[in-house]
Amino acid sequence: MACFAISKVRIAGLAAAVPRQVESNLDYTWISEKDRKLLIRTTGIEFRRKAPAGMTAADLCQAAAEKLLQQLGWDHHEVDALVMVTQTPDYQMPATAMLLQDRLGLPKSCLSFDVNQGCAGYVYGLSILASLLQGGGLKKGLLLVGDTITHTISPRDKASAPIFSDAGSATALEFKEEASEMIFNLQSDGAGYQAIHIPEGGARNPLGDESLLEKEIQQGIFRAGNQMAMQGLDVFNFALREVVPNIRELLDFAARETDSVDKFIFHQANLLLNESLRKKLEIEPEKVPYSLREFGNTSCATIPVTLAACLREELEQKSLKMLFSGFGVGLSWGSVLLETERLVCPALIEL
Amino acid sequence: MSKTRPEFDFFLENFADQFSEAEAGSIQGNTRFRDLEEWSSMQALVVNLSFDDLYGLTLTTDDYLSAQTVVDLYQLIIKKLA
Repeated sequence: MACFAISKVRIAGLAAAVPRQVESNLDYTWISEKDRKLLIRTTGIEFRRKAPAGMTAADLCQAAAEKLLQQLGWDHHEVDALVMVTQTPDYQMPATAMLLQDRLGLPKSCLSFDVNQGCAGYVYGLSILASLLQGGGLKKGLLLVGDTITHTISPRDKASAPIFSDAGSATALEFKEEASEMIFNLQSDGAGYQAIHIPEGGARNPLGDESLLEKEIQQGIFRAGNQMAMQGLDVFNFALREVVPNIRELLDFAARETDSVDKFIFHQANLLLNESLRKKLEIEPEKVPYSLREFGNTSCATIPVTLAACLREELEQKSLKMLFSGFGVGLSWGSVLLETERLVCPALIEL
Repeated sequence: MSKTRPEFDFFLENFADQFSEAEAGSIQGNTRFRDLEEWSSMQALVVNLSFDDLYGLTLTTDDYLSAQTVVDLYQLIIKKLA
């Protein structure tokens, strides 16, 4: 069991940024009009944000981080750690975190590294940065979480193209003696790695002459070896099987009930799945906000995007007991119970 | 949620209920589900969710690829419940 608690670290604020360009699933003419309507009804996704060529996750995270640092009033030289969670780094090497340390004007004393994580990445990232800060040696850190995942997807792949969207985020964490605990339950199952993966272009299957050629995989799905392949049904089955027990185990470990949580923020996968999870856990609809319709599945950034898009005023004005749950590529999944207290939360940024 | 061996009639009724546009009685055991007008990858999620509700299990992509008819899907469920 990977349940553990981290104390003395609080979230000071968060910001999210999305590309300005909006695409509508009603206009996704690769599939029939009837299928488009069924898709919107079952996934809950009507609009997606698409980063233009040349815009990367680093750009979106940088915009979010700059706005957040400005509104927090943090001196850039106070930032001791930067953790970047992404599957779409600027380069194969070096890690994007170092580029952003420089671009954000953070000091050379700031440690920085990347974490290759997807839909569970926000929860994993929180656990990593909070672990670094909890000893008190490092006082302030930035967690940057984002993907331009649409750049890895074939527009003629009906399983992925109408689902995924681009976004970046920045979350500021700081050491504070009196901060309430964050309690995590993190899990993984690499046996399911093929459920979502990019088969070619890594060390196992390097780019070859045919890696860039789109092939018909099945009806409605054309893609190349260096593009993302998702077995939607298998991901759906995995989430249906694993997420609820993970959350129940976390609540048991923390000796809490669902009633004691003000808001549950789930990875925005699809409406059919997320509503099933909500009903299994017997959570009232008003406690489970969705950003799916407007922003789709933004990979690792869905939780901060949902917080910024749906809960900004509450986050700024109140204390909230929250449960975040992310699940997907890896396979990996994880949940965290934490309390936010009057966060700095700038309005959603469009780039 | 039932974990007991499902009767075929019950399985069929649930399966057919997931297809809102099919005429009553038009989906039978020997129906080739991929030929149904409403069948799609999205519809597979809807059907799988109903299996999860009824039997506490789901079928995989490979399961669906290996099956042709509604009876084939039923037999996969029976096998998994065993």
